[in-house]
Amino acid sequence: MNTVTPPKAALAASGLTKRYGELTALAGVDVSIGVGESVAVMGASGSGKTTLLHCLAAVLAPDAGSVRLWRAGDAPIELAGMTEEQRSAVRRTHLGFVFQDHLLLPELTALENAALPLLLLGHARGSAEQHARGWLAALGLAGMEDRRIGQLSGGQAQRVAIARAQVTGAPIVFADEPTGALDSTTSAEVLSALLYATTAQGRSLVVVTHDADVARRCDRILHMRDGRIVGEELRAHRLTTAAAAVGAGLGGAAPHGPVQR
Amino acid sequence: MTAVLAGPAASPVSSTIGRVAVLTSLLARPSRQGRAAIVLPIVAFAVTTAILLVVTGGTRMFLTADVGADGMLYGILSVLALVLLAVPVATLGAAAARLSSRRRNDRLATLRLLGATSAEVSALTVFEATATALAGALAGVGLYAAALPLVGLLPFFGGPVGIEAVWAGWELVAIIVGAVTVLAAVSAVAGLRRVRLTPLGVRRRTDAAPRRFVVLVIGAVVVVGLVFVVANFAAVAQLLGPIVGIAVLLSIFAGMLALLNLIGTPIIAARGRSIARQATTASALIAGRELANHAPAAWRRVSGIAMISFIAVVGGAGMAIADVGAAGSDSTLFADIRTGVLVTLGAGFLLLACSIGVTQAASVLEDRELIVGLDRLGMPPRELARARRMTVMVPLRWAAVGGAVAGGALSLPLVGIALVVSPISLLVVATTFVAGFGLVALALGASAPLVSAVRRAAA
Repeated sequence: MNTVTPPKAALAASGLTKRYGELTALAGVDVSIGVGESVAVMGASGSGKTTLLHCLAAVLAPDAGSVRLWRAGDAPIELAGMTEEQRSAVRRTHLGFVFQDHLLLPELTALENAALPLLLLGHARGSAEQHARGWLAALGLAGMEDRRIGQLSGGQAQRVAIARAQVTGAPIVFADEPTGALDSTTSAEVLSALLYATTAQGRSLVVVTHDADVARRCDRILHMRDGRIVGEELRAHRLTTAAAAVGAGLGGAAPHGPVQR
Repeated sequence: MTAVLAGPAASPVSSTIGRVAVLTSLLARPSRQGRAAIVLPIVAFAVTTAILLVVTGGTRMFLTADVGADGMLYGILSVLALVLLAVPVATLGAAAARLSSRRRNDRLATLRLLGATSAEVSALTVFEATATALAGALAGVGLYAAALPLVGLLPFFGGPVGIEAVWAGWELVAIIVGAVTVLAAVSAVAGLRRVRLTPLGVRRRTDAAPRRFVVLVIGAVVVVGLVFVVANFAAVAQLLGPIVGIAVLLSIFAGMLALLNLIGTPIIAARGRSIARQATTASALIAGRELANHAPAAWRRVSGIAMISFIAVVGGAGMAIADVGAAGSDSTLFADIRTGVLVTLGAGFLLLACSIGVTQAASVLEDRELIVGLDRLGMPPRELARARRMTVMVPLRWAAVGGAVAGGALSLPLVGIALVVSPISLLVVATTFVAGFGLVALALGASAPLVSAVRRAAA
């Protein structure tokens, strides 16, 4: 077992419980996500990993327990008791999302898709698009800004989704099977892009995945069964920021987040 | 006796038709999320059928009634009402057909993956849409039968006309049930041409829509031509005889409505592009791109209001004529014109409300995943609602004004400016606009719970 000091927490949950009727999806889960840390959540279908992700990401309200989110220099905020509207605001301002099917708007160009979260925060269109352009370039998509999503490959579309997740400078990004729809080579590239956009910038990443190759590249792996965390692996490369090395291959420096907090 | 692991031998009965029938019956089982998608088209087909029966029954009554010298005029006006309502009826029928043929898209992709051919999957879709339409049409006959006593109370020829007079007759019932069913089948086939049924999914094309300025130019030229013919109607009637002349006039009204549908799409696409270009908010950007890329669908959603405002202007002018003439000896005729205009407008509104409701439900179901994705990103529900509202209200304004202008262009040469802008005709137009916009806002509001349900179901 590794003995490195755990990083400062960005998000901490304790006693998380979620039930769907008779079914207990989460049975008192305690978990903490460090600043700049990447955490993979693995488990069979129905083990509760997606429910855990949804509770941590303020998509769902847990039935019991607490989820605290630390903002730089501020007291932590409690997500568990929030209304739907408040959770929506937290997702908008503090969290980023990458989905398996990217869920980009097919009508919008790559650039507009990546700029969308900034527009939702009330940024001017020009500066939002300029910033999104920087992220697309940093993720190897320079020159593809005006393409529709249908004109991109699966891996390219997923990188647009990563740009969208990080464009606001969200301190934590949640990814639900981000490589589930991709072949293994593309999958590795997309994961490199995802780690580069998050941990290499000092931000945290939580990935739900079935793919052991994806999990191995994260700092920590949580194994779930029957709504509980039944095992935890600390990866050796935890503090070597392997992500920075792969990030260099993608070229270009990541833009700084325009959102000051 | 060696081939233990071989599959069952192909039996001679497993023809394509047999397989399609089996697959259709399997997929016809109700599913939890699919219920709205099957109930809505059936309701829409039922309303379409019932209104068609009321209107054609009424037309038959006017064409066969023995009302002396005015018989011809009654006949013309009722055919005119039928022509005016044909487009909203077709719109609703097509919307229902589209919804019923789209609801199984994901399963169709799975069937393709399992080895069903594209032709089989297409046949299944068409078969299912046709069966839904037939069920709806038959329900519509029931609805018509239930509404008949009320329709019989409508005052024409100086008193309530009675059930027997307005009963369409079994022949018409059979023809209309058949026509609605065939329309749904044709519409499902047309809808399939716009999607690609691949094993990896049923994809809606989302490339940028082509610009169609040519359509606008041709449309403008044809409008001028139609107005010119109407302006010189007396000469046309003299040249071709009154019967042919009236037929020409009626087809000009139908042509103008078809034309309005043709030029509506490129106008909405152009407006969408300009909204997207100038957008400063996420909702305006999304709405603008949606309008630009899916202009035909955006126009279809609201084309009913174009027809209604067209009817309001033409009908308003008709009311003004009736008002002027009511003092004279033909007071019954003019009272009947007033009643006819109101009935036509009422039927138009009912069709519009159903169309908007069905198309809104269809678009929520189609965009289910994106609605969930945007919600996850933290897009506030009111921002999403604003984007959805814009994609309806922007084309709505163009459709309402376009319909009114087209109606005015045709009425003006026939009845003169004084009647088109008379108080009563303006009142009809204003009431129609207020009621139309209110109705659409209501239909939009009615789809809001479905959006929330989609968001919650995914959480």
